[in-house]
Amino acid sequence: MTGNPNTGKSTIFNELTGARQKIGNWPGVTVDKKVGYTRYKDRAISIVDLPGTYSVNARSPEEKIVIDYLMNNKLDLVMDVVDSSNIERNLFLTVQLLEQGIPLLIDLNMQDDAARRGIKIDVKKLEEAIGMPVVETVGRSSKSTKKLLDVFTSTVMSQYHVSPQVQEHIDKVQAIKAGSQSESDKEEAIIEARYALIDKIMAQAVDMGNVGQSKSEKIDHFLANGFLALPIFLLILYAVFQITFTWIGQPIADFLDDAINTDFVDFMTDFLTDAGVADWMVSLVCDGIISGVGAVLTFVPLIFVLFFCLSFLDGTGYMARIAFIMDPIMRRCGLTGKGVMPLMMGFGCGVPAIMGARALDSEKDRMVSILVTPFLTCGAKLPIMALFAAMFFPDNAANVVFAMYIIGMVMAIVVAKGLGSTIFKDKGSTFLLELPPYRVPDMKTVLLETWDKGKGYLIKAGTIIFAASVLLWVMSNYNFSGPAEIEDSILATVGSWMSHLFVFQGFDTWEAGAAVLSGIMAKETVVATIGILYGAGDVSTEAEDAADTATTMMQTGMATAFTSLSAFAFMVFSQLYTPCVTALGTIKKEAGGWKWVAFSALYMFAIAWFVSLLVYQIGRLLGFE
Amino acid sequence: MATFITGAIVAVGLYYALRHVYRNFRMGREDCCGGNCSACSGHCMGGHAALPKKGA
Amino acid sequence: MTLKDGKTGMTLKIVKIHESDLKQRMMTMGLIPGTKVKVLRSAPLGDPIAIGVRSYNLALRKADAENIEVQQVG
Repeated sequence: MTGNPNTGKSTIFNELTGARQKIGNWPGVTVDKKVGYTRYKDRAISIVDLPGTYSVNARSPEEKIVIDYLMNNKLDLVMDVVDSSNIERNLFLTVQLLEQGIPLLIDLNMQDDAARRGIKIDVKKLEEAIGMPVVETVGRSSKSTKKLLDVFTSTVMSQYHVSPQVQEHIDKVQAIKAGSQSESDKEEAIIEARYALIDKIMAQAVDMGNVGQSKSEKIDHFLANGFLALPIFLLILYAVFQITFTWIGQPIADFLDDAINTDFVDFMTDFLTDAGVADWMVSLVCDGIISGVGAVLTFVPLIFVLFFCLSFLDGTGYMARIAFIMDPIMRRCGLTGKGVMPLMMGFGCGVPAIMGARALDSEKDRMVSILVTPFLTCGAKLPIMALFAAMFFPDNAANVVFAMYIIGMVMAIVVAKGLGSTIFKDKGSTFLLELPPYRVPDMKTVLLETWDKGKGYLIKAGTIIFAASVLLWVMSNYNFSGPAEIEDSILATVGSWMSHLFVFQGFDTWEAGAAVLSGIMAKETVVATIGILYGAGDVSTEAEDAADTATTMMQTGMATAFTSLSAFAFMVFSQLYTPCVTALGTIKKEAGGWKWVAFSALYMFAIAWFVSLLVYQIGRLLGFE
Repeated sequence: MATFITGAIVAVGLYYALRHVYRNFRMGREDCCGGNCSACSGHCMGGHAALPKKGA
Repeated sequence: MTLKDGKTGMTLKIVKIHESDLKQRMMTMGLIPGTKVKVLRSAPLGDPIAIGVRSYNLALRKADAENIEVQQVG
């Protein structure tokens, strides 16, 4: 399957193959390779979903993958998914593929959309004009799926040959290539020839008759028009947070917190003690692993709800509008509106966001994007924010978390501006972006995507957080001369060194110091550390009657270790400081060199330190506690 | 005995956890949230660049 | 005139695209001499602009629109 972005290709792929998908990597590049399997009429069918591209000029890893895969494999059939309501530009890829002599099945998707917009495509005439089979689908429907499977199993591609006019075009392209013009002139001449052919095909098979103003345009009149667009954007962002932290995500998280950190810990403690397991081992399992991993797992509902919202928004086509309306602001920071997209990914995880910066055009856009992305609130920082907000600002939790997101964004923009006018002072950046039509997102695709993105969080909880929890437990229960009280443990020693740094920020406790340090391993471990150190583990037996976990945590000393103000300063610091090792590793790969790793680790720590200091000291001057 | 069994379970779990982390590290893979999204076809949190960069 | 001077609602016909780094990419996206485009709207502060071209919408900056020579047809 190949096709332009925004053609509903993924939806068709998901519908055809369901959960029978394997997601791997294309060799040498971090680009998804999705293969799905299905059976129909006693035939086993495997389908490869190629990355969506506008052309195959091998200008990007994605384009190279598509053309290499198509040229190097003997495929039974290549399905080119075309958005019918945008057939004209979609045909560009089609023509380019035809030039390569690839056996093409053209899938006119979103027929319903096109019909609504008054675009009439005559399938028979289109088949004649191109010479390859054409099939119509309407995105997600069992009828369309069946139709495609029927075509897959019945069409004999060798019966089809490109039409005379397409052949003529191919000859013309060959002639241009053999000509004596400069390479770029040739390329431009070929592009013009392709569109000339497309114009011909359009005239033969497509009636654009009375294409009225589309619904998208009417919606864009509000969502992407002038100044009003910005407050609407903030409002939408705010709604996403309310859904995540107030309406849906948090209540489920609270329930889970109760179940894991109270009920399950109690159960395991009793169970293991009754079974005669030594006390230290009970402590390792309950205070160490369950508290640590549990603290992270508690936030799974929040992560999934947030990812669901973002995937949903993406499915509607609104993300491209965000880039459009943010470009004026981004440009003034020396960036491009397109940079908003990788940055938005940064709300999920900094790693794909840093990789996503590749799609940007200029070296400067790319480097600045890579360096400022880690300021954003990734999925792993979210638990820190959620935990502290729930404990210290119970009445305003969602607003406080929202404020953290804003602080992260503002910091990213300010630093981008700073970097842009100092280290990367060169020519400007570019911006050329399709604004796809608004669509009601396909729920199955949104859910699959949410799962795809969220499952990494689960895997991490079971692996690196699990290992880190064991390590932290050992470090908090032993010192170099053997078992020790927690105050004399290795962790306390290391944490208290660290904590000296935070005297002016109001959180100079060794626990906070240890949490900050462990956060460099993975941001989730900040919460895991707090879970272990202040964990419900050692108080849970006494607190059996007071099941409410917030109160349980209140009794653990975390409430007294921080004031509201120092908790806020801690949140700000956590929001901004040194990215996790995985992100640092990605920075090395993408920015090219340890120099940039050291740079981002240090400058982010410095900025976090300075900003949290300002927050705490100014807060004190204003009389907050 | 029970201590030993519990310890063995934890040790096995730890072994698989560390192996996973080590393999990720060696193969340069990440399993962070959305880690394999960078070229999701057609749909991706954060949308898409209109066109890939020139000369890449 | 150039596309940069296009006002919202105007329909314009592309006459020539001047050399720039973006030229081939703009052409791939369907901006070819002879193609008609419609200026749809602009982002906050008036830049970038959104245009309708070959039945889809494309956003580009005024600095790049300046490289596209057009002539008004409606």
